[in-house]
Amino acid sequence: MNIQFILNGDDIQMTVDPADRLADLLKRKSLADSVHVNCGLGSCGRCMVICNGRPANACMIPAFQLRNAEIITYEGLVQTPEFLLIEKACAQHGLELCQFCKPSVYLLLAVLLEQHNRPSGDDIRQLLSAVNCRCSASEDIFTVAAAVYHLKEGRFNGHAGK
Amino acid sequence: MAMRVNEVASPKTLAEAVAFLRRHPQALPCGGCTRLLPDPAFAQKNLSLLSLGWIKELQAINRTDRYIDLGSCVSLNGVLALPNIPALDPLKKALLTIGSASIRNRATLGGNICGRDSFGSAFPALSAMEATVELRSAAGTQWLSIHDLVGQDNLPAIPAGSFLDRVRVPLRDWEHNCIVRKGPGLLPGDTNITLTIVANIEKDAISEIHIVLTGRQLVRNRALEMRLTGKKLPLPAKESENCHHDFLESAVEAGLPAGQAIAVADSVRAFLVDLSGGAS
Repeated sequence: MNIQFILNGDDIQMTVDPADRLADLLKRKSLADSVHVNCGLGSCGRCMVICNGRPANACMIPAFQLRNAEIITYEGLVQTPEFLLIEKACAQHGLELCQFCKPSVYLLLAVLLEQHNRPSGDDIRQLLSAVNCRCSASEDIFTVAAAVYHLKEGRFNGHAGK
Repeated sequence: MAMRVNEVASPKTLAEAVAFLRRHPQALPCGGCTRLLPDPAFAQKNLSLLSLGWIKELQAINRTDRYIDLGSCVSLNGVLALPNIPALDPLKKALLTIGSASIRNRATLGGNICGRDSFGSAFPALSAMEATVELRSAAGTQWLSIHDLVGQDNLPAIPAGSFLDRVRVPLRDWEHNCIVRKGPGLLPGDTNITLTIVANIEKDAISEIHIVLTGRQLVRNRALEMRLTGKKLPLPAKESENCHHDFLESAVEAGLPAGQAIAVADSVRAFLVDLSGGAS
């Protein structure tokens, strides 16, 4: 079947088997090296993408549901101002993530930044639980998540970089 | 192992979905596909899929004074995001036990309820809350108690050639409720069991209590519920022990492994002890 979707702002058209998963498509066609195909059950979170504005496991998205979807991967996030905020918060708190966890955690933090209301601690923990990160303590990531949101508020209040 | 898909229909209206199902009665309706993709049972089958995610009516949420209607393709996070509705507490607690936030963005309420080989974690909560469901087929629509989706053998039994339209949850507060989920939590139904208990107290007596356990089968001991209803609190220790024993028997009879059966019976007893504490 032919599908059409948007990947990091680019229109993508391809012929796929309906049972293909987005994670496999991205790897096979070398469209996103940051997406790691690991458990295939949606439990490790290393294939995280943002699908229509929400975090989703690429291994849980069948090709036939991709039609007209908007997908953002870590490669797309790197080009945005949010990425710089997240990098800054990580640097300020000394958080260094491994190459497997970093793309997924950054995407989750980017989703957090998009929220209009200040997320509660529980909201942040719930969201971050989507990545089974073994390279860093979850509390450290939580601290950065809270810091990222503060940085964003600072930016809107004109205090960015101060 | 990848599944094999012969044909996929992605209708945009209910009428198109029904027409496809009439032509392909064995087609498998699906929402977010989070149960379908990891399930090895589907890997070797040639499937015809009816993807319902594009139908707007199935994503609608409507509320009246007495109930709330949740479309079958509302995502689990969509239900969790509903503003504070105390009556939905047991359901929300159950949904929070399912997967991670990213899975719950894609998983749908209908998909959780309509498991073919085991019950999802939302089922016991909806069962305890006395929800009803609307099924749609070529013959039209019909409202059923959620218990009508349980077959004679206590296994899920969704009628072939039909799909879940919406779930109606009565807006009735349950002052006391608890959800206990046990199992590895990876594959749906893979020895996961979920216990839901909801209860109300009036004048220091249990006015109503529902205890539902699901896994591969549904366990509900209505005789036990009836015996507890009207009982003055605090319950005597012997009564809690008897309930523990009765529920353990029901769980073992339903084929639950002894360890899991004891664990859920312990949870029932702990709930009753808490209930006694709350009333005193």
